[in-house]
Amino acid sequence: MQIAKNLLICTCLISAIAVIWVRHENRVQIIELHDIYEQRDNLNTEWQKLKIELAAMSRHDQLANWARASHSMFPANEHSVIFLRSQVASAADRELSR
Amino acid sequence: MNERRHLIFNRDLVLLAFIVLGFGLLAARAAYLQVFSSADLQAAGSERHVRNEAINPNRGVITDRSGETLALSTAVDSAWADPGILVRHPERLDELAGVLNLSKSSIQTNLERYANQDRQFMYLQRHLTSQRSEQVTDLDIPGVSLMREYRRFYPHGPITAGLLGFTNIDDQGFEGIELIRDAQLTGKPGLKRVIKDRRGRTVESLHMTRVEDGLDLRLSIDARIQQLVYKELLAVLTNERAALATSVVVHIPTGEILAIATAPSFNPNLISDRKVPRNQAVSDVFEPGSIAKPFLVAKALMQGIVTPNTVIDTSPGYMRIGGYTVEDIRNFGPLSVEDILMKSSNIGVTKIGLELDPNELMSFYQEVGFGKRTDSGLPGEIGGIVPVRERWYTSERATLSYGYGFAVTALQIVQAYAAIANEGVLVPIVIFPDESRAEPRRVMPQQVAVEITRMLERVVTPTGTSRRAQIPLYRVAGKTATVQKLIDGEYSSDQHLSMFVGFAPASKPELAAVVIVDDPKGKSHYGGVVAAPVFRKIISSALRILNVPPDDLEKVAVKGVSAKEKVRS
Repeated sequence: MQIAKNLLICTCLISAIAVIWVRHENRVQIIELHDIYEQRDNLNTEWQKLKIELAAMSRHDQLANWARASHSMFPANEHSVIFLRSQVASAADRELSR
Repeated sequence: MNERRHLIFNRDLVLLAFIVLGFGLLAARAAYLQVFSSADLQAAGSERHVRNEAINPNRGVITDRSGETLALSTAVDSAWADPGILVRHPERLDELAGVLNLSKSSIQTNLERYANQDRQFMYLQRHLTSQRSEQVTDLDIPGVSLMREYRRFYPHGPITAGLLGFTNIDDQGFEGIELIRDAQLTGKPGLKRVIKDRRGRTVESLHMTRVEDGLDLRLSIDARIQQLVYKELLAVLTNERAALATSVVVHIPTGEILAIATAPSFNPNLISDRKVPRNQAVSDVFEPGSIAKPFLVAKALMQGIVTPNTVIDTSPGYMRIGGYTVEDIRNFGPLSVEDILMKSSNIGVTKIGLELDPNELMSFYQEVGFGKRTDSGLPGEIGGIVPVRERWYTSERATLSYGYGFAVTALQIVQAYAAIANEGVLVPIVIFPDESRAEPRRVMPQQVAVEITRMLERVVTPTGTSRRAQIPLYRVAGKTATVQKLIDGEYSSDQHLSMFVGFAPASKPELAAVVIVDDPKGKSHYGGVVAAPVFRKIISSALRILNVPPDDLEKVAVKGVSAKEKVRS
């Protein structure tokens, strides 16, 4: 009887301490989770800003203007293109012209 | 024993006294708190209580066909206050107003009004710069906190504005694709139940529903071609002093819209610059004029009324029908059907048109997509009018023949020309390439489509009306039109639409485009002079960007063969 009573008191104490511990742990982990979420959000924000920057800086027309202005580049026109006949195509053509 | 009992009794008494005293103190304290300082405590309690906080979802990204960003939301901080708390710290309003660049009095009046209404939320300033949001955090004013919101950015600014539209300050779709695809782009907000302290900091989180971010949306647009189209449209506005310029570029084999733009546009990143976006290609109808002539010829060919070589006398260059006179720009004399298209003779097509049943012609036009909304999925698209009637006057039949008396959109025109280019199979045009689309359908026999393509190629030769649309190394087919604008039910004598529609390379068509210049006030208003060069600039660059192999190698040397033995086309 006495042993059972002591055991119950001990269990009660242990469970009380466990409740407090779990509650504390819960808070700590939720705060940790929040920090991680915040970290994720901040990384996302940075990633979005970088994407906007990339989109704004890699605009095709800007690159084209830059290539024209600082490297004197120009789109290939009909005079600057050399057409090569592929072996297969020439063979087929010879075949046809026979 | 008695002595001892007495002692124990005394000890019990002392203990009892302590206990009574202890409880008495507690009761007194409770009474004090309850009665005398309840107001203060209630306030303290309300400052530390459970709140539901929404977590805003991140709006989906809109990209072009290759994943280039066209619209993107990025997180920004907005400053807000709990009026009930902030109102009790008036001494800090000066600092707050300074950081937010607002007047102290305006914050104060709003604050008092909100506090009196017992509200718990008040925006101080939305979408802060990152510098300002740091300053607000540093101030650490009770009741003032930041929340995460999203702001939309459009890296291409005015280039895509007419198509995409924009979002409002809450990042909800307000116009354009942003509006019609709002549900998909928005996502679902999450919810967070938290306990906050009086400074608005989260002390404990009770519950959290996950936020579902919006879905990304891919368009068929090619950002490179879209940029170049917009640039050329802006140039023609300046050069020709036109009111508006519109163009649509379509990839013929798939029907995907590679570019669609109207100039002038606006910068959607500046709220002050925002206007209702105008996408003339889908929202404006007009009479197609000469652009419809190839379809009339196609119908006549299909019915066997004419062949490409049938000769029709167009002299003396004018013709009276009912009370109207149909005129050509000069007397062309006898012309073959092919030459009628090349010279765009009104009399020629009228004579062919009068041989056709007008309702059959109209239903053929409907078949090629005129007068009804396409399956593009573009916002704000309207249908146009292609009427079917029991009775037609001869004069009405004549006007139908040269492209008046019915109304179409630019989108319908480019789709119909793409069908000719595609050997008579109409591939419905689309803007959302990843979604289900309508089935392609044959609208004219292959033979007729090939014949019309050949004729349209002749239009873009030095003797045709559109020599300015010629592109070196590529064979181009197309047609110009210059129509008088209908203003308040009357044809304007000085306001025109100058148009060109065509496709290239003619031997294996890849790109179709329409260019419409509204009310050009330059030296000439003819489509062949105003719109054709724009088409040439757009398509020649687009062919190069897309690496489409040239098909017109007649005049260039090919290495590996002698000059005499050039590539047969």
